[in-house]
Amino acid sequence: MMNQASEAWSEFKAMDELAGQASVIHRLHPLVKLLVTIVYIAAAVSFPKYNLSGLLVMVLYPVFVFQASLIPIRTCFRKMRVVLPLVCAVGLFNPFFDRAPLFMLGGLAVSGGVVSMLSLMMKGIFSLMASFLLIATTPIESLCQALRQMHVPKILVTLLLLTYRYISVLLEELSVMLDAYHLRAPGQKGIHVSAWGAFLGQLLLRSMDRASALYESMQLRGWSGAFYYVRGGRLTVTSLLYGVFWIALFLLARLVNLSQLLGTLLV
Amino acid sequence: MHMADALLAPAVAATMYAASAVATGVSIRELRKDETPQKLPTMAVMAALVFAGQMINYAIPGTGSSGHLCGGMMLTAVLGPFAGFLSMIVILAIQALFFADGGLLALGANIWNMSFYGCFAGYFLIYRPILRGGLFSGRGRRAAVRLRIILASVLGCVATLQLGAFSVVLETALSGVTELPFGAFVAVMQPIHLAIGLVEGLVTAAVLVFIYESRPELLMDVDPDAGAAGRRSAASTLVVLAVVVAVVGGGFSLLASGNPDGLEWSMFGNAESGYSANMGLDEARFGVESSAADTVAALQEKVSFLPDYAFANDAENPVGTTVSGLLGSALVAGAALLIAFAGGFFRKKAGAQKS
Amino acid sequence: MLEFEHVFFSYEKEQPILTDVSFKIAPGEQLGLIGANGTGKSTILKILLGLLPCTGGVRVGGLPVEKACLPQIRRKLGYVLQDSDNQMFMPTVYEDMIFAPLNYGLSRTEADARVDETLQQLALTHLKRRHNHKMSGGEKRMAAIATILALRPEALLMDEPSIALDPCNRRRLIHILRALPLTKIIASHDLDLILETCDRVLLLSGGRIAADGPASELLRDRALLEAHRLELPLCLSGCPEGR
Repeated sequence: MMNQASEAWSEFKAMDELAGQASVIHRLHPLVKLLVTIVYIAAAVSFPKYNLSGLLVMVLYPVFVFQASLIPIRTCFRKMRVVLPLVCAVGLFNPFFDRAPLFMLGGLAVSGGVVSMLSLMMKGIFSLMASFLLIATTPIESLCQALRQMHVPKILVTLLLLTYRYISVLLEELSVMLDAYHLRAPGQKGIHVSAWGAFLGQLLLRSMDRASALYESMQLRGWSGAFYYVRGGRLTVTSLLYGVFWIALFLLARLVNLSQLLGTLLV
Repeated sequence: MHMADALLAPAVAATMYAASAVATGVSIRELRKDETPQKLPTMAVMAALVFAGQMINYAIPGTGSSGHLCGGMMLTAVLGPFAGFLSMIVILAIQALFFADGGLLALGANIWNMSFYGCFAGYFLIYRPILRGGLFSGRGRRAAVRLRIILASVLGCVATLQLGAFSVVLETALSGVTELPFGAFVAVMQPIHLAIGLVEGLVTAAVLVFIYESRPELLMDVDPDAGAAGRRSAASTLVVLAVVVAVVGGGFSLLASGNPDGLEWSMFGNAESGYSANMGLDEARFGVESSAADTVAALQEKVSFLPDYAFANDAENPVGTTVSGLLGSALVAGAALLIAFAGGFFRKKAGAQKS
Repeated sequence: MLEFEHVFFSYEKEQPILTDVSFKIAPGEQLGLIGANGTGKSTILKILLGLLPCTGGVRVGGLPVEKACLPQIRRKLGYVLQDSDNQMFMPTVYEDMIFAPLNYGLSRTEADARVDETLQQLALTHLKRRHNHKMSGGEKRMAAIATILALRPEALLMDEPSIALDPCNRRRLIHILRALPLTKIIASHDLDLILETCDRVLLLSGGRIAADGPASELLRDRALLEAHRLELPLCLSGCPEGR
């Protein structure tokens, strides 16, 4: 059985693997993808709570990107276990508190609470899928490049890049420590209270040494505080069109209930 | 206590982003005053360490359950408030992006709830005053510092988690996504976070004491001569304690008033378990779920899931729009399925080419 | 090219790490630093790089190791760390390799050319786009060496280069080292590696130089080595598979 650190580590590697593929979506400019994702999430969560049919149109974006990027959809659902419980827990109360009927379905009245619960859950799933798809199709270097272009302070972007690199090192180190601990303490669920301080403390002290070695190694290679990023491809026409298309669609869907419109045309 | 994108209205999310951005700007400016380049590798490695440290299960004695570390207070004690805050931002961003913990839109709120309170409020109002104060000075220097570290860590973590939890409730309520009464929500969040804060505080204290014993120079404010502000009296430390007690006590009094008929309270049994999983508590063994399971049965009798009026009057119901809405939704769903099938076709093709 | 003159160093007053160490290395010389644990091998490397302050005279290429000269000195020296993870902090090998050239003012095209040239020279072109956290220990070590060589240093300083390498990778490393015409200082417990790559050996013991001489002589002196908690290299101790 894997410990939590090595589980997180393999999850990390899996994301990296996905981001390293070369689909149509992967080749798009990172800034365009970042902006599309942000607009998508903002548009999706801003739908009124009873506007379920309007919100449904937003499903088209993740479905399209999943298919075009060849990312397996189940990897995303695994990630939802973390944050979805909170969304569901909050949403589950709506049917109890908001019982005024909103519309009839068959002979049954559907209450506002049920609709708002469903739309809350959909928002949760949609926004999660969107950020998952961004990371699964964009390597960290490209993402940092996009963040710089959005004028996120240099020190934060550099810190993000360095931290990302060292998370893998420390997760590996910690996973070895956890295995070593549990081999000598069979049957213990977690770290015993007598070792609370020393366990993480030891790793912290060693990490401090690592940090100074890292700083030395940067100094020796002439570092003076600046970092150079790989400049990814230029903003292509395809990327631009992609961005404009989706953002326009999101805004349109937010302003006009497209499902409703489509239905009215047919009825 | 990661907020999710779906629980935030864009206006609230943007406000929290703005607030966090101001704190970030101040931190960067303060950091530039001393040697940033030298600190950057340390910040990165410490952020990575705290991130990894969150994977450790700490067995809580006598309960059979285990808790986790969030780490804001620990980062601050080692890096100082400004560097600690920036490192915490990076941790939260990586959690949101790679582990779907939180969200892109909710990042601003999460930074505020978890880093701002922990790094700034916790440090300036609790950690530093206690460590530089004169508490326990009758016990010899080392023992006094040790006790101050423990006190500061526990109080700091409890108080800042209370503030963070309250902010989560406030942000959710302001976003208008839930029909839950504000008081009921507060009544659930604050006590859960009292327990979480205690565990966090004790683990933080244990780690910091360990570091103090082996390499005290790594910690902020443990050397009384180094502090520019100098020593403070025990009285001023007591003021700090009073503030903390007020914050925590306020949470509890809200709990009492927000629990008028016990209905919402019992219903939250459900939410608690889901929520504490999100918080990193092992709910199955935290004694939360069992109470939840008991209440669910009673709950089903008490509360009808169906609307108040099972057969509502058609006149007050815009059936026409509903029908077209449903039909349109079906069409959208059909389009989504079509894309999915088309994609499946391409996938097969790509697979065939590979093999 | 490298010069130590009556160098003393200690972290704490009571425990001297280096006591009166003096030696000179001519350009193109390949020096092996040997000695038991804690005899000051790494310390000597760090002092040369200006990472630790010391008393006595240390000169690199005629320049004193002082704050004002550090950029010039560090430009001349390439230091390969014991733990490659501490050395490779960028996401990919390529980005790590252009890091130093860009810091020293090369243009991006020049730096790119350096990277390709270095990787070709070491036959490592397949590692260019790899992620640092997804390589094996052997690959990481090779990539770390490439990172340093992209700087075109005049001297190469290595701390335990063969540690955690499998026999095949270790052999490759030896080939690479032998083919490089630079001045080298290699600190290692791997005496076989020292024997194959260095022409001169400095034996440290208790913070002093216990012996200084040609590798082929010094590493055959069983009595001397054993007196300082070392053993004969395997290939000289009658090991059947030895040379």
